[in-house]
Amino acid sequence: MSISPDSILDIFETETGLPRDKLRPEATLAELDIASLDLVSIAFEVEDKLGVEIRTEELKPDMTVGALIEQIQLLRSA
Amino acid sequence: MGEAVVLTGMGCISGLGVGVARNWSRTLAGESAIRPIERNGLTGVAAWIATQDKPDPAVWRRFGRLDPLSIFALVAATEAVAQAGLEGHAVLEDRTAILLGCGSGGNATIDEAYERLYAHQSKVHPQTIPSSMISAPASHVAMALGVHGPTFVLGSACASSAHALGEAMHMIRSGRVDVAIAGGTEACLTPGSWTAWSALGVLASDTCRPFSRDRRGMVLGEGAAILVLESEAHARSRGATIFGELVGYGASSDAAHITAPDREGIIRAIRAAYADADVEPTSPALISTHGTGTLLNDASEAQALHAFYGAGLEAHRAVATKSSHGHMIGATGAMEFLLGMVALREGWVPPVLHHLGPDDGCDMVPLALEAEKIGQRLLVSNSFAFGGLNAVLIGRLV
Repeated sequence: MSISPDSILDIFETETGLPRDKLRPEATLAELDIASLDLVSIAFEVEDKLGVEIRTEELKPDMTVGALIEQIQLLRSA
Repeated sequence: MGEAVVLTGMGCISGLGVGVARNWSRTLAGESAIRPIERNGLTGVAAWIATQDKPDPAVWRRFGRLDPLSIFALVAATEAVAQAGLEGHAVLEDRTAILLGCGSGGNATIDEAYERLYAHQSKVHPQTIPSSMISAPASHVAMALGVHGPTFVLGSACASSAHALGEAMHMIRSGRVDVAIAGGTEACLTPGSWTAWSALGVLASDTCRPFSRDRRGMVLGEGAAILVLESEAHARSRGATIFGELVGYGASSDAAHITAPDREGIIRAIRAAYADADVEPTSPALISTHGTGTLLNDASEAQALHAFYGAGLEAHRAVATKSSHGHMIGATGAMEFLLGMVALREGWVPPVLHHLGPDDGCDMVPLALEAEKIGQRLLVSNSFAFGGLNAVLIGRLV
Protein backbone atom coordinates (compact mmCIF):
# COMPACT_ATOMS: atom_id res chain seq x y z
CA MET A 1 0.00 0.00 0.00
CA SER A 2 1.35 3.41 -0.90
CA ILE A 3 1.93 6.06 1.73
CA SER A 4 -0.20 9.19 1.49
CA PRO A 5 1.60 12.54 1.39
CA ASP A 6 -0.63 13.60 4.29
CA SER A 7 0.69 10.92 6.62
CA ILE A 8 4.24 12.07 5.84
CA LEU A 9 3.35 15.74 6.26
CA ASP A 10 1.79 14.90 9.65
CA ILE A 11 5.20 13.72 10.77
CA PHE A 12 6.92 16.81 9.31
CA GLU A 13 4.51 19.06 11.12
CA THR A 14 4.89 17.32 14.48
CA GLU A 15 8.66 17.02 14.36
CA THR A 16 9.47 20.51 13.04
CA GLY A 17 6.65 22.50 14.61
CA LEU A 18 6.13 24.20 11.25
CA PRO A 19 2.55 24.95 10.17
CA ARG A 20 1.18 22.83 7.32
CA ASP A 21 0.88 25.76 4.88
CA LYS A 22 4.64 26.35 5.06
CA LEU A 23 5.38 22.76 4.10
CA ARG A 24 4.87 23.43 0.36
CA PRO A 25 6.20 20.76 -2.04
CA GLU A 26 8.67 23.20 -3.67
CA ALA A 27 10.14 24.46 -0.35
CA THR A 28 13.64 23.15 0.38
CA LEU A 29 14.73 21.88 3.77
CA ALA A 30 17.19 24.79 3.96
CA GLU A 31 14.49 27.39 3.20
CA LEU A 32 12.31 25.93 5.93
CA ASP A 33 15.27 26.16 8.32
CA ILE A 34 14.74 22.59 9.49
CA ALA A 35 17.53 21.80 11.93
CA SER A 36 19.56 18.62 11.51
CA LEU A 37 18.17 17.39 14.83
CA ASP A 38 14.65 17.70 13.44
CA LEU A 39 15.68 15.86 10.26
CA VAL A 40 17.00 12.98 12.33
CA SER A 41 13.72 13.01 14.25
CA ILE A 42 11.71 12.97 11.00
CA ALA A 43 13.73 9.99 9.78
CA PHE A 44 13.11 8.21 13.09
CA GLU A 45 9.35 8.80 13.03
CA VAL A 46 9.05 7.86 9.35
CA GLU A 47 10.71 4.55 10.11
CA ASP A 48 8.73 4.03 13.31
CA LYS A 49 5.29 4.97 11.99
CA LEU A 50 5.55 4.19 8.27
CA GLY A 51 8.14 1.43 8.27
CA VAL A 52 10.44 3.20 5.79
CA GLU A 53 14.09 3.56 6.62
CA ILE A 54 15.69 6.77 5.36
CA ARG A 55 19.43 7.24 5.62
CA THR A 56 19.83 10.65 7.22
CA GLU A 57 22.91 11.43 5.12
CA GLU A 58 20.60 11.42 2.09
CA LEU A 59 18.66 14.35 3.49
CA LYS A 60 20.46 17.27 1.79
CA PRO A 61 19.61 20.92 2.55
CA ASP A 62 18.62 21.60 -1.09
CA MET A 63 16.12 18.74 -1.10
CA THR A 64 12.51 19.88 -1.46
CA VAL A 65 9.63 18.66 0.69
CA GLY A 66 8.03 17.20 -2.44
CA ALA A 67 11.19 15.28 -3.36
CA LEU A 68 11.49 13.90 0.14
CA ILE A 69 7.88 12.72 0.10
CA GLU A 70 8.47 11.06 -3.27
CA GLN A 71 11.59 9.35 -2.00
CA ILE A 72 9.76 7.98 1.04
CA GLN A 73 6.95 6.69 -1.20
CA LEU A 74 9.51 5.16 -3.55
CA LEU A 75 11.41 3.45 -0.72
CA ARG A 76 8.14 1.97 0.52
CA SER A 77 7.23 0.51 -2.84
CA ALA A 78 10.76 -0.80 -3.48
CA MET B 1 26.47 42.02 52.65
CA GLY B 2 26.38 43.39 49.11
CA GLU B 3 23.32 44.19 47.02
CA ALA B 4 19.92 43.72 48.64
CA VAL B 5 17.91 41.10 46.75
CA VAL B 6 14.22 41.62 46.08
CA LEU B 7 11.45 39.58 44.54
CA THR B 8 9.75 41.07 41.47
CA GLY B 9 8.02 38.15 39.77
CA MET B 10 6.54 34.73 40.52
CA GLY B 11 5.16 31.88 38.45
CA CYS B 12 4.06 28.32 39.07
CA ILE B 13 2.19 25.26 37.91
CA SER B 14 1.20 22.33 40.14
CA GLY B 15 -1.55 19.80 40.63
CA LEU B 16 -3.58 22.74 41.96
CA GLY B 17 -3.53 24.38 38.53
CA VAL B 18 -1.68 26.93 36.47
CA GLY B 19 -0.52 30.29 37.82
CA VAL B 20 0.18 31.86 41.20
CA ALA B 21 -3.35 33.26 41.63
CA ARG B 22 -5.02 29.87 41.24
CA ASN B 23 -2.43 28.03 43.34
CA TRP B 24 -2.73 30.58 46.14
CA SER B 25 -6.52 30.77 46.19
CA ARG B 26 -6.87 26.99 46.28
CA THR B 27 -4.20 26.61 48.97
CA LEU B 28 -5.82 29.29 51.14
CA ALA B 29 -9.24 27.70 50.63
CA GLY B 30 -7.89 24.46 52.06
CA GLU B 31 -8.14 22.56 48.80
CA SER B 32 -5.72 19.78 47.98
CA ALA B 33 -4.49 18.48 44.63
CA ILE B 34 -3.95 15.05 46.20
CA ARG B 35 -6.33 12.51 44.65
CA PRO B 36 -6.27 9.05 43.05
CA ILE B 37 -3.98 9.28 40.08
CA GLU B 38 -5.41 8.73 36.60
CA ARG B 39 -2.35 8.05 34.51
CA ASN B 40 -1.27 4.87 32.72
CA GLY B 41 0.96 2.63 34.79
CA LEU B 42 0.40 4.44 38.08
CA THR B 43 -1.78 3.37 41.00
CA GLY B 44 -2.20 5.35 44.19
CA VAL B 45 -2.60 9.00 45.18
CA ALA B 46 -0.59 11.96 43.90
CA ALA B 47 -0.90 15.70 43.33
CA TRP B 48 -0.95 15.38 39.54
CA ILE B 49 -1.55 17.98 36.87
CA ALA B 50 -4.87 17.37 35.13
CA THR B 51 -4.94 17.04 31.35
CA GLN B 52 -6.93 20.26 30.91
CA ASP B 53 -4.24 22.15 32.85
CA LYS B 54 -1.42 20.73 30.73
CA PRO B 55 0.01 23.56 28.65
CA ASP B 56 0.14 23.25 24.88
CA PRO B 57 3.85 23.15 24.05
CA ALA B 58 3.26 24.21 20.41
CA VAL B 59 4.61 27.70 21.07
CA TRP B 60 7.90 26.18 22.20
CA ARG B 61 8.01 23.43 19.58
CA ARG B 62 10.98 25.06 17.84
CA PHE B 63 13.14 24.08 20.84
CA GLY B 64 12.78 20.40 19.96
CA ARG B 65 10.93 17.65 21.78
CA LEU B 66 10.10 18.89 25.25
CA ASP B 67 9.76 16.67 28.28
CA PRO B 68 7.05 17.84 30.73
CA LEU B 69 10.01 18.84 32.92
CA SER B 70 10.84 21.65 30.48
CA ILE B 71 7.22 22.53 29.73
CA PHE B 72 6.50 23.09 33.43
CA ALA B 73 9.61 25.28 33.77
CA LEU B 74 8.66 27.31 30.69
CA VAL B 75 5.13 27.92 32.03
CA ALA B 76 6.37 29.09 35.43
CA ALA B 77 9.27 31.19 34.07
CA THR B 78 7.06 32.90 31.50
CA GLU B 79 4.55 33.92 34.18
CA ALA B 80 7.28 35.14 36.55
CA VAL B 81 9.14 37.20 33.95
CA ALA B 82 5.90 38.71 32.62
CA GLN B 83 4.89 39.74 36.14
CA ALA B 84 8.32 41.27 36.67
CA GLY B 85 7.86 43.25 33.45
CA LEU B 86 11.16 41.97 32.10
CA GLU B 87 10.04 40.42 28.79
CA GLY B 88 12.46 41.67 26.15
CA HIS B 89 14.33 43.82 28.71
CA ALA B 90 18.00 44.51 27.96
CA VAL B 91 19.09 43.05 31.33
CA LEU B 92 18.27 39.55 30.01
CA GLU B 93 21.10 39.91 27.48
CA ASP B 94 24.03 39.44 29.84
CA ARG B 95 23.19 40.50 33.40
CA THR B 96 20.68 37.75 34.14
CA ALA B 97 21.24 34.23 35.47
CA ILE B 98 18.99 31.19 35.39
CA LEU B 99 19.33 28.69 38.26
CA LEU B 100 16.81 25.89 38.40
CA GLY B 101 16.63 23.03 40.85
CA CYS B 102 15.66 19.58 39.65
CA GLY B 103 15.71 16.20 41.34
CA SER B 104 15.61 13.68 38.54
CA GLY B 105 15.55 14.86 34.91
CA GLY B 106 13.06 14.05 32.16
CA ASN B 107 11.42 10.88 33.46
CA ALA B 108 8.74 10.63 30.75
CA THR B 109 11.34 10.71 27.98
CA ILE B 110 13.57 8.19 29.74
CA ASP B 111 10.62 5.88 30.48
CA GLU B 112 9.52 5.97 26.85
CA ALA B 113 13.02 5.12 25.62
CA TYR B 114 13.43 2.20 28.04
CA GLU B 115 10.02 0.84 27.15
CA ARG B 116 10.95 0.87 23.46
CA LEU B 117 14.32 -0.71 24.19
CA TYR B 118 13.35 -3.40 26.69
CA ALA B 119 9.71 -4.13 25.83
CA HIS B 120 9.89 -3.81 22.05
CA GLN B 121 13.60 -4.06 21.19
CA SER B 122 13.13 -1.02 18.97
CA LYS B 123 15.17 2.13 18.33
CA VAL B 124 14.76 5.09 20.65
CA HIS B 125 13.94 8.64 19.63
CA PRO B 126 17.06 10.58 18.53
CA GLN B 127 16.18 13.42 20.90
CA THR B 128 16.06 11.20 23.99
CA ILE B 129 19.24 12.71 25.44
CA PRO B 130 18.58 16.43 24.77
CA SER B 131 14.96 16.11 25.94
CA SER B 132 15.70 14.24 29.15
CA MET B 133 18.97 15.78 30.31
CA ILE B 134 18.56 17.39 33.71
CA SER B 135 19.82 20.76 32.44
CA ALA B 136 17.32 20.92 29.55
CA PRO B 137 14.75 23.06 31.40
CA ALA B 138 17.35 25.76 32.11
CA SER B 139 18.40 25.78 28.45
CA HIS B 140 14.81 25.94 27.26
CA VAL B 141 13.96 28.84 29.58
CA ALA B 142 17.08 30.68 28.37
CA MET B 143 16.06 30.08 24.73
CA ALA B 144 12.50 31.29 25.36
CA LEU B 145 13.56 34.46 27.16
CA GLY B 146 16.85 35.26 25.41
CA VAL B 147 18.93 34.97 28.57
CA HIS B 148 22.67 34.87 27.89
CA GLY B 149 24.10 34.95 31.44
CA PRO B 150 25.15 32.01 33.64
CA THR B 151 22.50 29.30 33.27
CA PHE B 152 22.38 25.87 34.86
CA VAL B 153 20.45 23.30 36.87
CA LEU B 154 21.54 22.26 40.31
CA GLY B 155 20.49 19.17 42.18
CA SER B 156 19.99 18.49 45.89
CA ALA B 157 16.91 16.26 45.69
CA CYS B 158 13.99 17.76 47.62
CA ALA B 159 15.95 20.93 48.46
CA SER B 160 17.11 21.64 44.88
CA SER B 161 15.02 24.74 44.24
CA ALA B 162 15.69 26.19 47.70
CA HIS B 163 19.41 25.86 47.01
CA ALA B 164 18.81 27.42 43.57
CA LEU B 165 17.11 30.46 45.11
CA GLY B 166 19.81 30.82 47.77
CA GLU B 167 22.70 30.55 45.36
CA ALA B 168 20.94 32.94 42.95
CA MET B 169 20.61 35.42 45.81
CA HIS B 170 24.37 35.26 46.31
CA MET B 171 25.02 35.84 42.60
CA ILE B 172 23.07 39.09 42.85
CA ARG B 173 24.59 40.09 46.19
CA SER B 174 28.09 39.65 44.80
CA GLY B 175 27.27 41.74 41.74
CA ARG B 176 27.72 38.96 39.18
CA VAL B 177 24.23 39.58 37.80
CA ASP B 178 21.38 42.05 38.34
CA VAL B 179 18.57 39.56 37.83
CA ALA B 180 18.17 35.83 38.50
CA ILE B 181 15.35 33.63 37.27
CA ALA B 182 15.43 30.92 39.91
CA GLY B 183 13.31 28.09 41.21
CA GLY B 184 12.74 24.49 40.28
CA THR B 185 10.89 21.97 38.18
CA GLU B 186 10.01 18.29 38.47
CA ALA B 187 8.02 15.82 36.37
CA CYS B 188 8.32 12.54 38.23
CA LEU B 189 4.83 11.08 37.88
CA THR B 190 5.76 8.45 35.31
CA PRO B 191 5.64 4.64 35.65
CA GLY B 192 9.40 4.22 36.07
CA SER B 193 9.86 6.94 38.64
CA TRP B 194 6.64 5.95 40.44
CA THR B 195 7.75 2.34 40.70
CA ALA B 196 11.07 3.36 42.24
CA TRP B 197 9.41 5.74 44.71
CA SER B 198 6.91 3.04 45.68
CA ALA B 199 9.74 0.57 46.26
CA LEU B 200 11.34 2.99 48.71
CA GLY B 201 8.30 2.62 50.95
CA VAL B 202 7.87 6.31 51.77
CA LEU B 203 4.67 7.04 49.82
CA ALA B 204 1.42 7.37 51.74
CA SER B 205 -1.50 5.28 50.51
CA ASP B 206 -4.09 7.78 51.75
CA THR B 207 -2.87 11.39 51.76
CA CYS B 208 -0.23 13.77 53.13
CA ARG B 209 -0.76 14.54 56.84
CA PRO B 210 2.16 16.73 58.01
CA PHE B 211 2.94 16.48 61.74
CA SER B 212 -0.27 14.52 62.32
CA ARG B 213 -0.80 11.35 64.26
CA ASP B 214 -1.32 8.35 61.95
CA ARG B 215 0.58 10.02 59.13
CA ARG B 216 1.69 7.46 56.60
CA GLY B 217 4.22 9.15 54.38
CA MET B 218 4.71 11.63 51.58
CA VAL B 219 2.62 12.17 48.46
CA LEU B 220 4.35 13.00 45.20
CA GLY B 221 3.41 16.06 43.17
CA GLU B 222 4.75 17.62 39.98
CA GLY B 223 5.17 21.05 38.41
CA ALA B 224 7.42 24.08 38.66
CA ALA B 225 7.82 27.24 40.70
CA ILE B 226 10.08 30.03 39.48
CA LEU B 227 10.79 33.47 40.89
CA VAL B 228 12.47 36.57 39.55
CA LEU B 229 15.10 37.83 41.98
CA GLU B 230 16.63 41.21 41.35
CA SER B 231 19.05 43.60 42.98
CA GLU B 232 17.04 46.22 44.82
CA ALA B 233 18.92 48.98 42.99
CA HIS B 234 18.04 47.51 39.59
CA ALA B 235 14.39 46.94 40.52
CA ARG B 236 14.00 50.47 41.86
CA SER B 237 15.78 52.06 38.90
CA ARG B 238 13.18 50.62 36.54
CA GLY B 239 10.24 51.23 38.87
CA ALA B 240 9.41 47.54 39.30
CA THR B 241 6.82 46.34 41.80
CA ILE B 242 8.67 44.72 44.71
CA PHE B 243 6.85 41.82 46.36
CA GLY B 244 9.37 41.15 49.09
CA GLU B 245 13.00 40.57 49.85
CA LEU B 246 15.14 37.43 50.09
CA VAL B 247 17.32 38.27 53.07
CA GLY B 248 18.80 35.01 54.25
CA TYR B 249 20.00 31.62 53.11
CA GLY B 250 21.52 28.87 55.19
CA ALA B 251 22.71 25.58 53.76
CA SER B 252 24.17 22.52 55.44
CA SER B 253 24.92 18.88 54.88
CA ASP B 254 24.12 16.22 57.49
CA ALA B 255 26.97 14.01 56.25
CA ALA B 256 25.15 11.19 57.97
CA HIS B 257 22.59 9.14 56.04
CA ILE B 258 21.30 8.94 52.46
CA THR B 259 17.62 9.06 53.46
CA ALA B 260 17.19 9.67 57.21
CA PRO B 261 17.06 13.31 58.34
CA ASP B 262 19.41 14.55 61.04
CA ARG B 263 18.30 17.02 63.69
CA GLU B 264 21.69 18.68 64.01
CA GLY B 265 22.02 19.23 60.26
CA ILE B 266 18.59 20.87 60.16
CA ILE B 267 19.45 23.16 63.08
CA ARG B 268 22.74 24.09 61.42
CA ALA B 269 20.92 25.28 58.28
CA ILE B 270 18.29 27.25 60.21
CA ARG B 271 20.97 28.91 62.33
CA ALA B 272 22.99 29.82 59.25
CA ALA B 273 19.96 31.37 57.55
CA TYR B 274 19.20 33.58 60.56
CA ALA B 275 22.84 34.65 60.80
CA ASP B 276 22.89 35.46 57.08
CA ALA B 277 19.68 37.48 57.37
CA ASP B 278 20.90 39.19 60.54
CA VAL B 279 17.48 38.60 62.09
CA GLU B 280 16.67 37.50 65.64
CA PRO B 281 14.89 34.12 65.97
CA THR B 282 12.44 35.85 68.31
CA SER B 283 11.01 37.98 65.47
CA PRO B 284 7.55 36.54 64.74
CA ALA B 285 7.81 34.48 61.56
CA LEU B 286 5.73 32.33 59.29
CA ILE B 287 7.61 29.02 59.21
CA SER B 288 7.00 27.10 56.02
CA THR B 289 8.05 23.66 57.19
CA HIS B 290 9.49 20.94 55.03
CA GLY B 291 6.60 18.90 56.50
CA THR B 292 6.51 15.91 54.17
CA GLY B 293 4.20 13.74 56.25
CA THR B 294 6.72 10.94 56.75
CA LEU B 295 7.16 9.61 60.27
CA LEU B 296 10.85 10.39 60.43
CA ASN B 297 10.99 13.76 58.64
CA ASP B 298 8.25 15.46 60.62
CA ALA B 299 9.55 14.19 63.97
CA SER B 300 13.11 15.33 63.20
CA GLU B 301 11.95 18.72 61.94
CA ALA B 302 9.71 19.22 64.98
CA GLN B 303 12.57 18.35 67.33
CA ALA B 304 14.93 20.65 65.45
CA LEU B 305 12.46 23.55 65.56
CA HIS B 306 11.93 22.99 69.26
CA ALA B 307 15.66 22.80 69.95
CA PHE B 308 16.41 25.92 67.90
CA TYR B 309 13.57 28.23 68.97
CA GLY B 310 12.97 26.78 72.44
CA ALA B 311 9.88 28.13 74.17
CA GLY B 312 9.92 30.98 71.66
CA LEU B 313 8.56 28.60 68.99
CA GLU B 314 5.04 29.54 70.10
CA ALA B 315 5.52 33.09 68.81
CA HIS B 316 5.63 31.76 65.25
CA ARG B 317 3.08 30.18 62.94
CA ALA B 318 3.82 27.04 60.94
CA VAL B 319 2.40 25.84 57.62
CA ALA B 320 2.97 22.69 55.59
CA THR B 321 1.68 23.31 52.08
CA LYS B 322 2.76 19.90 50.77
CA SER B 323 -0.61 18.79 52.14
CA SER B 324 -2.07 20.91 49.33
CA HIS B 325 0.36 20.70 46.35
CA GLY B 326 2.12 17.45 47.24
CA HIS B 327 5.85 16.91 47.31
CA MET B 328 7.10 18.52 44.12
CA ILE B 329 10.67 17.27 44.80
CA GLY B 330 13.02 19.57 42.85
CA ALA B 331 10.34 22.27 42.60
CA THR B 332 8.96 22.06 46.10
CA GLY B 333 11.31 24.43 47.97
CA ALA B 334 10.58 27.25 45.52
CA MET B 335 6.84 26.46 45.57
CA GLU B 336 6.76 26.70 49.36
CA PHE B 337 8.84 29.90 49.45
CA LEU B 338 6.55 31.40 46.78
CA LEU B 339 3.34 30.53 48.67
CA GLY B 340 4.93 31.72 51.91
CA MET B 341 5.74 35.12 50.43
CA VAL B 342 2.21 35.44 49.05
CA ALA B 343 0.89 34.52 52.51
CA LEU B 344 2.93 37.35 54.09
CA ARG B 345 1.69 39.83 51.50
CA GLU B 346 -1.93 38.78 51.83
CA GLY B 347 -1.71 38.58 55.63
CA TRP B 348 -3.30 35.14 55.60
CA VAL B 349 -1.82 31.77 56.42
CA PRO B 350 -3.24 28.73 54.57
CA PRO B 351 -4.29 25.70 56.63
CA VAL B 352 -2.31 22.50 57.15
CA LEU B 353 -4.62 19.86 55.67
CA HIS B 354 -5.59 16.29 56.55
CA HIS B 355 -4.47 16.67 60.17
CA LEU B 356 -5.99 13.99 62.41
CA GLY B 357 -4.68 15.31 65.72
CA PRO B 358 -1.38 15.95 67.48
CA ASP B 359 1.37 13.39 67.42
CA ASP B 360 3.52 12.88 70.48
CA GLY B 361 6.76 13.77 68.73
CA CYS B 362 5.41 16.80 66.81
CA ASP B 363 2.90 18.52 69.08
CA MET B 364 5.15 21.50 69.81
CA VAL B 365 4.94 22.80 66.23
CA PRO B 366 2.50 25.78 66.15
CA LEU B 367 0.54 24.60 63.11
CA ALA B 368 -2.15 26.70 61.48
CA LEU B 369 -4.90 24.11 61.10
CA GLU B 370 -7.38 26.68 59.81
CA ALA B 371 -6.76 29.62 57.51
CA GLU B 372 -6.05 32.59 59.73
CA LYS B 373 -5.01 36.23 59.54
CA ILE B 374 -1.41 36.89 60.44
CA GLY B 375 0.73 39.97 60.94
CA GLN B 376 4.10 38.32 60.35
CA ARG B 377 6.48 40.09 57.99
CA LEU B 378 9.09 37.33 58.02
CA LEU B 379 9.10 33.94 56.26
CA VAL B 380 11.40 31.03 57.14
CA SER B 381 11.12 28.38 54.45
CA ASN B 382 12.66 24.98 55.26
CA SER B 383 13.88 22.36 52.81
CA PHE B 384 15.57 19.18 54.05
CA ALA B 385 16.43 16.72 51.31
CA PHE B 386 17.29 13.07 51.03
CA GLY B 387 21.01 12.68 51.46
CA GLY B 388 21.00 15.25 54.26
CA LEU B 389 21.16 18.34 52.02
CA ASN B 390 19.48 21.23 53.80
CA ALA B 391 18.56 24.74 52.67
CA VAL B 392 16.64 27.37 54.60
CA LEU B 393 15.49 30.63 53.02
CA ILE B 394 14.39 33.75 54.86
CA GLY B 395 12.09 36.20 53.11
CA ARG B 396 10.71 39.50 54.36
CA LEU B 397 8.14 42.06 53.31
CA VAL B 398 9.81 45.30 52.26
